Amino acid sequence: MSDRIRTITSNDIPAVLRAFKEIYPANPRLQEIEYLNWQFRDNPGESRDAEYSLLVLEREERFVAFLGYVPLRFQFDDVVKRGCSTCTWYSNGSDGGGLAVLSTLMVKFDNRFLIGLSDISASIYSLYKIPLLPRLPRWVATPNAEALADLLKLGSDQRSILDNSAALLGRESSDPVAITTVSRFTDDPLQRCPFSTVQGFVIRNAAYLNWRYIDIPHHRYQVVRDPDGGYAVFRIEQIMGHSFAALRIIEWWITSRWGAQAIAFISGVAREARVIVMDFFCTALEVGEYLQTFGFFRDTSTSPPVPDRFRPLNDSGGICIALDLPPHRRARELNFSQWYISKGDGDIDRVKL
Amino acid sequence: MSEELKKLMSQVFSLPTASISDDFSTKTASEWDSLRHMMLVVAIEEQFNVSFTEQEIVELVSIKEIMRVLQQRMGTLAKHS
Repeated sequence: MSDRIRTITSNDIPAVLRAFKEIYPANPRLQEIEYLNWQFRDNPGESRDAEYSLLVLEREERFVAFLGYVPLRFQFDDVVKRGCSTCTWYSNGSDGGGLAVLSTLMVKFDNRFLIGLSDISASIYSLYKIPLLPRLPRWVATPNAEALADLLKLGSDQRSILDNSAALLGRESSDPVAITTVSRFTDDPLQRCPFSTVQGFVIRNAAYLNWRYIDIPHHRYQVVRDPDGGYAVFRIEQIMGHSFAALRIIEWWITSRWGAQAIAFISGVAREARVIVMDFFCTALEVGEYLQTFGFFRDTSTSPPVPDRFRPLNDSGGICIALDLPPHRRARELNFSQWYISKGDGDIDRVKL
Repeated sequence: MSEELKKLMSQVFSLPTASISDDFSTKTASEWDSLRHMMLVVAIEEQFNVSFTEQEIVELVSIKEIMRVLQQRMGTLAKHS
């Protein structure tokens, strides 16, 4: 029995799609060639050395383990380095296949962004002594407190949080003339970080953003830009079984002087779309605290917390992330709030239905 | 050292020590999944006061290989057992 770890080629696509259909029956996106090509072939990763950035462990002409990755550049303390984010890690159980493909990736990339970990993945990474953040911070706001309170069946003692949020959001009603929508990034947006306490972030140039948010199959993200080159990305998601919607802000890279106008613009879009809840996930506490001035609050402020899944409505328990930078295999503290890591850094903001 | 390693593996894999044969490996043990593998790696590191690299970790796929790496890594290990 000989094992072979390699990246896939276009010849492997039918076999990979068959395997994904079996492994991820509830995830139609991963069973589509358009999505597969977008995720693993078309990503604009720096120095990509393969046709597809998907590692497989092949055994007796079968794929028994997978690990996908997106090569990237990131900046920390003004130094730019190469790294990757991972996605679609799977092995069929025993025999070390999962660790074998992981090890291959670790040789390729010294810096790894691990977003949206399952309990087992988190346990494995923890044993590698990789710093984990069990719950990616999330901020929530509502333009319609009454509807959200009814939906969540919140008691009157909890409603004041939502009322306060709606009031603050509604305050930002100035005409957002400075904010423009764009259908595509024609030039690189603001490359310096607009947040004073953030030292690390994945570099998002026009090619990366167009790939991540514009060219992705089956998703419709909306992009707004400010006059300083900043931008925000969001999408609207219908709440299953209800006439209301949720607005997910995926990126907030807006300079502070345009924040109020950007919120006013997005809130206007939200009201027109019958949105009753808006949210944003980010490691950078500074960004969330800034959004709190416009009516956002931590999702754990209410009991029960505002669910983070809307198709159907339920709570995932949070998104676990890890950041694996040298020195490897040494227990160490990592201040995640020094990083801007959003839901957009991984493949977890994926519409399944 | 072999017996000490087998005892350790029996704890990690929740198996009787007697069932940890000299051929025990990822190929023969269905209990040996990725999570148990990492638990075993950490247990060995703590027990034998060694540290494995990311590359070495994935190569520790059998009791024979683990013994080989341990003996190679620390000539003084024999004293430990």
